[in-house]
Amino acid sequence: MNHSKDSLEDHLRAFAQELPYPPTPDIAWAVRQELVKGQKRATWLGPAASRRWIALGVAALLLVVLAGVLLVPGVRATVIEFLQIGVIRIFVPEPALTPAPTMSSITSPVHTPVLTQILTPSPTSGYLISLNGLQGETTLETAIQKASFTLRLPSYPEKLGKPDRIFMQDLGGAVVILVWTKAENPDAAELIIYQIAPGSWAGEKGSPHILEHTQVNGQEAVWAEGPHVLVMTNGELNFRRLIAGHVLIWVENGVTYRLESNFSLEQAIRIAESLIPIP
Amino acid sequence: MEPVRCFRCILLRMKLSGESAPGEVQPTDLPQSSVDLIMRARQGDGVAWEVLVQQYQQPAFRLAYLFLEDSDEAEDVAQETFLRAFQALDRFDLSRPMLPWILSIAANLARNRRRSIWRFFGVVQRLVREEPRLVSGEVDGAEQRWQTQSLWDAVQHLKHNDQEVIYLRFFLELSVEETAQTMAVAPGTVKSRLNRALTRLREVIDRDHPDLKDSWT
Repeated sequence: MNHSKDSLEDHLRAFAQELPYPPTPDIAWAVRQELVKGQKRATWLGPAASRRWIALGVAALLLVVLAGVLLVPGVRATVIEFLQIGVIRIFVPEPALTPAPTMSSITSPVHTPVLTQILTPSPTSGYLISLNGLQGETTLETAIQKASFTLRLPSYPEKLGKPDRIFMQDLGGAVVILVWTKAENPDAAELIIYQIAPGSWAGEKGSPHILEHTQVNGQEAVWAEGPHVLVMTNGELNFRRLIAGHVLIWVENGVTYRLESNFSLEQAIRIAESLIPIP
Repeated sequence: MEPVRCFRCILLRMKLSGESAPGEVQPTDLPQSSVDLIMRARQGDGVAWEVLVQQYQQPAFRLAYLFLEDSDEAEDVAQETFLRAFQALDRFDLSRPMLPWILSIAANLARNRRRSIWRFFGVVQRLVREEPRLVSGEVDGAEQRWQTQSLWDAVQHLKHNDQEVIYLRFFLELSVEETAQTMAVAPGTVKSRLNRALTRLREVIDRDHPDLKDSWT
């Protein structure tokens, strides 16, 4: 095959010119705001000695306010309501109590009416979607070897088979992501199971449409129905994403599992309870 | 000189007076107005910095977008780029053009972001129920859309280093010299890397998109 040099380079240039970039946001304004905030902070805080006294004062004030706030039951619920499942923490701001949705023939869950917050889904950004540039893709065999815990695969549904794509990263602990893609579209996922070792990542904040306590193999679990926004932070890194699907999170033997799919709670629990170590 | 709080006033004043910067370094590649703005920004003038950000925000955002394929993440990276550049402004060499310096910061941040676990989650999350979109929804004709999608897929199959040099040269249309400064390598290295990247791109097209080459002939 002979690509003429000009041909490929010309096509690249033409393609680059036609690429529909998103509109450039007003970064200058945002940067200015950040700089102004930084200046105000610096001016207000002053020298180090003053900062220590101010910090002590602020801490004392916070203690007083916190004590007062926690004496009010309604406020207390608002302030402290979050769910911690393994390494995942879900914060639910401004909660309102609503009944849990009706469900039938669930394996062994304990359902608790929990907190509901309606969230209007915003369109996801990103016109260019590809897995090709994603870091950490590996084989199942390699993931099994490198993971510090025993990887498990669902034995239900029987036809599910092995995951189509496997990703792995290690940030203080292994994170393995197993992706089953849609048969008709290998770029779209049908089921994703995260298996996360302790210490891998800090947590996530979310405000899902429906959030329920349930159980997987007798262990506490949380079921979240999308769409909801996740905000995950770890140090200075910050990640915000709209989650469209349903998520089941639970912990077994110190490993946090996060199952994301379009399946119902009943199906998700059945898949979760079917996990068996890879032989 | 009295401080000027309106960036349009700064530009107008510079345009009218052609005043020079009070710095010691004699710039060679920067327009005098940019030097003035940098000198003011170095003294903490946020408005002057805002003017500079406006000059370079589009290429910084677009480079981050090419790396990350997500406008929210690209915006974060672009903002961080200019905040870090502002903090490091004293170390900027006024004898050099500013764009490659800005883009080198943006590329580093985008590279780190791409490697981060959150980026990793983000891309997987987007896969959950989102049908793949064509690269260019605004391109007329199915044939042309298919071509652009195929070409984009081929570029995405390249290693990150190969992608980077192609983005800088073809997508941001930087000169060899500017690309070299952005990548902190010699111009000759840019040429050889670009040749290698294009060779690999041809190989990917031959292997994965053989119909694409026929459509070009």
